[in-house]
Amino acid sequence: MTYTVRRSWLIVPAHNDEALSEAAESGADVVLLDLQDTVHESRKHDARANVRGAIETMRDAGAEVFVRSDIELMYADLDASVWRGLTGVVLPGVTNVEQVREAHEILSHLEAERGVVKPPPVGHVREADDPRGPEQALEIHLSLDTGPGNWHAEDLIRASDRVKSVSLGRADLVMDLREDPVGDLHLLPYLMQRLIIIANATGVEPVGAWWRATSRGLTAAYDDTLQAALTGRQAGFRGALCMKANQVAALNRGFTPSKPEVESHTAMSADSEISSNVIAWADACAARDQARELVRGQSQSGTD
Amino acid sequence: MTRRVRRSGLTMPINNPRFVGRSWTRDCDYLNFDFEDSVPQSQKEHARTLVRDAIVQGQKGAAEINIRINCAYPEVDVPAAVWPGVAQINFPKAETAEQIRNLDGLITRMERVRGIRPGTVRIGATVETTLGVANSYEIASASPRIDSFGPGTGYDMSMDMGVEMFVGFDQFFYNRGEGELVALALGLERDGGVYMPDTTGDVGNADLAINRARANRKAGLRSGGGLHPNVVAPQNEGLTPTAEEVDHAHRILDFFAELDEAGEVEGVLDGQIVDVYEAGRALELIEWADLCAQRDAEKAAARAQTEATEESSA
Repeated sequence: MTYTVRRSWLIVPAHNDEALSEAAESGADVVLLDLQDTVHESRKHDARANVRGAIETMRDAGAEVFVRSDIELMYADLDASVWRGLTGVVLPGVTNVEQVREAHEILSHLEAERGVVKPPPVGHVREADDPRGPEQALEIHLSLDTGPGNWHAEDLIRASDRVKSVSLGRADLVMDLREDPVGDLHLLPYLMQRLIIIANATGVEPVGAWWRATSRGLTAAYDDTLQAALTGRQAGFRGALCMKANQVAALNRGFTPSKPEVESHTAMSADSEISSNVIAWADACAARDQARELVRGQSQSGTD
Repeated sequence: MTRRVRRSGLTMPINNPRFVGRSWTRDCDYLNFDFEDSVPQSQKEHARTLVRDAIVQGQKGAAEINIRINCAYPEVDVPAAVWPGVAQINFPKAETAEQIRNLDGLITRMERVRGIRPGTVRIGATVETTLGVANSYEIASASPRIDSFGPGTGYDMSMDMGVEMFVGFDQFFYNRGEGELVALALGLERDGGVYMPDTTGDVGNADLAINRARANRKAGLRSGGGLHPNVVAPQNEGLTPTAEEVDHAHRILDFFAELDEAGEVEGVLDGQIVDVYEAGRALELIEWADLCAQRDAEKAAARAQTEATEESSA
């Protein structure tokens, strides 16, 4: 089994230079340049203007780059985002298949017009004469944060072959699901499990952590984030979105099997497919960390 | 359509004159007069003759009038239940969309016959079986008369699932999720409640009722109901925002307006993050508090008038 390692997806407002610098240093597997929630209407233009440069900065920092688009402003947001180095787009607030199809069409059009393809994994190089294939199409990540979006999740995922991953995004805030008496965010355990089932049934990656009431809107302290990642990995997630740079290390750590875990699985791996998968995932995580360092080293020497 | 306030409501056998006669004194937002489980088979026919009197009794306290019919006899129950003044027909053990479409048709006919404006009478579809859970989306979307929906939990659900009630963990975890998600997907008011550990099954426990009501409101749920008069006041109180909460909500809105003016999307007030979501939540709280106050005033005025009339005629 080969894995694309995306343990941490850090959402960063695309207009905020300070936050962008912080994101570049964060060690996030994915930096998610935001044009939606964290950008005020009056800053949308600045944010869009920043995207192209920020993509390059984040790639040089060893991160994959996605852009989160506002579903109502999709054309302008994608038009500002489809540039070399972009891996995909995150669509929050999706409620119907037409929105997914529209995003698919816009991406196809911009890819063709600008000659943009999805970049190879971090640390790999694509040769100029490599043939283009469907696996190089820019990805769509659906943030299913509404009632209709969750209910129709399967249809939405199947609406485009670009959809490779799904999450609940900030569902707790969008649907106003707050703390219940046992310390969960109301309905979230059900919604998380449902997402994991549907994602696996449709062959896409479920993204999330087992967030509880202490994790309002994907923000949480280091320890709570670590716990959400550890429990999330047990529940079937391999990476999660977060809002603060200091959550990245917690997610990377929580989603990476620990040394003792790997050792105990190594003892069992000969006759357990689950153990083999854990070891393969741990190896992939280690390789991802090395690739980041490699790319950073190259970027550093390039600027020296 | 204005959002309905249904914090408290008592379900009672319509053929019990003592319960029905005192129903207006209970301060319920709604009253659910029952044709179903609380009425023995031999009394069903008699029960069907009692709706107009029950409406009069309930309206003395300005309660919204609901009639719970039998899922097996909608053809005879609906003509007996739909009279001017009835706000909602409750359909228990809903299992298919076809049942709801049939019910909608029967109500439509009776609205026409009795001179009630089309669409006035709502349907409350209650899921109480596993088949109902599986068909939740189809049921909830089967009629525009449905404006609220919730999960199947409770006594009948337990029987159908073959489990005991009040076991100390949430054996209706899936039902809750499915029912509420369907409501969220269709834009309906969410009925039902959060899970709270309870191994007593005490339907008249006021402490349990207020804790449950507060926890439900915190989780975004706004409706209640029960079987015992003891739970009415706790539900009215627990599902109504306090004056402090309303003040705080106004402060959040003011603060968010300042943030927005400054071109910011987020700030911190009293250690709490304020953003578009908190502003939305604050606005909802204020609107809900207004609706609750309006409802309380209507009920108080009706009761005062009834008391005055009864005193002068005594």
